[in-house]
Amino acid sequence: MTALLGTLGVGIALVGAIGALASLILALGSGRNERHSRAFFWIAIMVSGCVVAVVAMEVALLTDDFSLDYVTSNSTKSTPILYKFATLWGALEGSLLLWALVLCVYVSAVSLSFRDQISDRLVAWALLTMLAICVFFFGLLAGPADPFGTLSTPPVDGDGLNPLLRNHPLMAIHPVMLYFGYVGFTVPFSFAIAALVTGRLGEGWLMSTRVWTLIAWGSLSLGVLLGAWWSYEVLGWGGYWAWDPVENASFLPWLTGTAFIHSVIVQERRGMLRVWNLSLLLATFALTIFGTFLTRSGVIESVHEFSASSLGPLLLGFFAVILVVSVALVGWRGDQLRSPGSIDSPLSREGSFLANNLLFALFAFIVLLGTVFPLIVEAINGDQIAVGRPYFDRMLLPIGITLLLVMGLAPLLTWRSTSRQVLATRALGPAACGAVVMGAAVVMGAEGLGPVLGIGLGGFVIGAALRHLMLACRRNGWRGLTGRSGGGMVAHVGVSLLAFGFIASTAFSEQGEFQLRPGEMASVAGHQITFVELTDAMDGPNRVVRAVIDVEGRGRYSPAITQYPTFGRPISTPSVATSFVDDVYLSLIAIPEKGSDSVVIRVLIEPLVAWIWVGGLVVGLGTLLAVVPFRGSRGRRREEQAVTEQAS
Amino acid sequence: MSDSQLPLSKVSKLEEERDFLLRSLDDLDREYASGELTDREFGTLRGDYTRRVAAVVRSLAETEPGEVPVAISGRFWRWFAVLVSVGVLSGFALAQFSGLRAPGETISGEVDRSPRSRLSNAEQLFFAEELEAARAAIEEILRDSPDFSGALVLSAQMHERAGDPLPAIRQLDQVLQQSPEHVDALTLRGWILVRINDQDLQEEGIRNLDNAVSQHPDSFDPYVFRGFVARELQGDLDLAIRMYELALDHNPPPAMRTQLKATVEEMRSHRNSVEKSR
Repeated sequence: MTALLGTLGVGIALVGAIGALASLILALGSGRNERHSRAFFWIAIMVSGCVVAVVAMEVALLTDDFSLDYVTSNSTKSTPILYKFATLWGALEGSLLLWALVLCVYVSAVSLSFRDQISDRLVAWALLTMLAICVFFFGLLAGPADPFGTLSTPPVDGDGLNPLLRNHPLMAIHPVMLYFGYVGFTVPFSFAIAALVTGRLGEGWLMSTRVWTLIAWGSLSLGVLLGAWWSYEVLGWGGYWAWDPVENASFLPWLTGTAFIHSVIVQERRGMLRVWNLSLLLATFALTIFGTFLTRSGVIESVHEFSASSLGPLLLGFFAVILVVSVALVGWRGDQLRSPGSIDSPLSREGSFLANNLLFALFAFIVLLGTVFPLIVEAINGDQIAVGRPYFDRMLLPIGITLLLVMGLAPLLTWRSTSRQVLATRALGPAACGAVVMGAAVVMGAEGLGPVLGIGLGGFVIGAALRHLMLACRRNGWRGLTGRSGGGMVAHVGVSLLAFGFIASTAFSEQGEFQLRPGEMASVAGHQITFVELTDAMDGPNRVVRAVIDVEGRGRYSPAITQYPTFGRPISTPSVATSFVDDVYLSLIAIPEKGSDSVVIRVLIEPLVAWIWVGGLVVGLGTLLAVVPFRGSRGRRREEQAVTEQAS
Repeated sequence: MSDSQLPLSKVSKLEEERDFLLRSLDDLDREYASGELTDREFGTLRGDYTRRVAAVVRSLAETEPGEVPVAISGRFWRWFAVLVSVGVLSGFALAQFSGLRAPGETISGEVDRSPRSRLSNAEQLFFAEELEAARAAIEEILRDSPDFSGALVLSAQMHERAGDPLPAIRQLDQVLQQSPEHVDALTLRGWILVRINDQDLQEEGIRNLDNAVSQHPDSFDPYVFRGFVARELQGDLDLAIRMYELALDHNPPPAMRTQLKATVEEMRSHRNSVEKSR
């Protein structure tokens, strides 16, 4: 029943998407305005069909309907309800269904938001682009990635999801946030395509999509960060970022998206960087599809290998279509995209945005090269190679530090040109803040030029952001915190906190491995741990071995190893004693031999890791504040003045 | 020359620039009025814009025929040099930090695994007969942690397997220097020495195995090796049977248990037949 309902839902959604697309094409072709609104009817059909399909899949998962191949392959009766619910996006077909649902949310929101302007050719073309993307994804769901395939003889129980995907609640949030980010970039991308097609290449379409871009960027930022947090809490190796190709796939569109949300300000303000901005936006969307290809085609081997499929050629083809269409349109409109004038001085706000953009583009290039190089080599000569972590660390560290410097300088610069004296005066406070933070870090034991410099620059960025916020709040009260400028500065503070956490946990972490018997102690970086006891119990069909560890001054923690009957190797689950100063990260290395009461424990002391997660929350808050429209007292005065002038 | 005599693209480019500069002047006035610029900054910028507008307007009014082909600017070469440098640097870094992918490794990046978990990976490779990969993995561990006893023992095991006992003995001696009671090192050292055709070394090997048995009475491995030596080298069936029985009491893996039981039975029947024949 659920299979039939789901298949019907996907079919209806596909028909709805094709219907809406056809209505818009006909309306644009005939030039008759009333025809545009017919698209709304078809969009409603598409959204309804998609909702039916998603509900059908959730019902099948929650009621253990093992007649569905997807449920059998990815769920078991003993899976807790939260993870059964989250299994929708735990494997390939379900995650594409989630992608389609999020796309429907965005299409509905854009339709509602622009319902009065549907006859505007720009809006119509934007919606048409979004619907073409919908047709592609519903086409995948109706054919090669059908999530509602059935089994002729349903088993009594299913195989279950990869255990790594069902032992932490973050699994329920991280992919959803990531998809809201990925799919969210469809909106500005579609408007960019519409602007290129209609030739309305001014700043109007940018204004229309500003909020959508920020929502997509904020969601993607949180999605990437939650992924890092999940990795830290679940995988047990003690880190949160490994330059794994799947991590890189989500990070690449974030890099180009971040460059875009900065450089777009220059276009809005001064009409410059038009081609650059369009290219960044088109690249961001193309990279989301490329990321999906990387993670869903099985071309890579990683912890995410669960998602291997035969969809590769289709996704690669779609990626190629996006690239070709984008490049062709930019080339076609090349003459109209030429920006008048140029940057007056490198020491200006727009100069700093340009520097920021070049650094982000370089960052993205290095990450992309490191990720695809092994694929290129394998395609050429069949050698299976890997690009090691040092490539990313060593190439990206100087860029990261320079980015921090530019981040601190940008809010201190005026548009067009800033004299050195003005910059020196404005930079005094932030530089002092950076020096104090750097001094404090050295006193607390920080060493090494790179880390200390990075921490100092983080302090400088916070100083510059706080200076900007104080001036804005002095003039406009709490509203100074809102708008792109205020919200952006709050996000900068968040990024600095994140940088502190990243630098400290990377440069100053210490670790040890100990074989301990009950009652024995060990010490790492001033933290004393005592192995209390070992418990060995069954949790349903799974064997769970826990080591109870007493961390002095923090309490008792229990890293564990679980042996799942349906999964070959045992899964280690770390336990983390978190504080704002440092984390004591405990993981059990192997299940002890029978008859032995000693365990091997790995202990990592990682300073300031909690700052990374707090920094991420502050970035999220900054994004929310940036979405709130800023209307300061000056804006109100202007409005009052305009009203008075009009009245007189 | 009138505007129409200039190439159209150049005229429109100049006109666009003129409009842009005029818009910038308006923008500047607004910013000055709202207090975002000081008098000095305003004066400097306004003067600069005015000069540039005048220059553009003059260019538009100039009457030079045709458009002279423009040489590639210095700016182009600067950017070209930057891009080439980035390419060369990235290529160099890629060459330095990439290598053949080990089984289970991702195409990019890596997790910071502990020496023990890397050792476990190397052991898996060794037992799966992927000897080259296992050797590479163990060498990498020893590069980072040269005194890691687990890695030294596995490395010695690999040397022994390759018929190269000398480096194996050296590595085992290194382990025994750190922990003289290391059961695996004692057992493996004893096992290597008893198979060398030299009486002194064989005796030393037997002493190593006896030491392993007495220091680690809960481990089955030393009993198995000691039993084998007692049977094959010393011809002492009683000792061999006793050792194998002790090994059976200490939870050997199922496959080994079956084999040990069969060997014990075989030795017993052999001993009985010898006794009967006497």
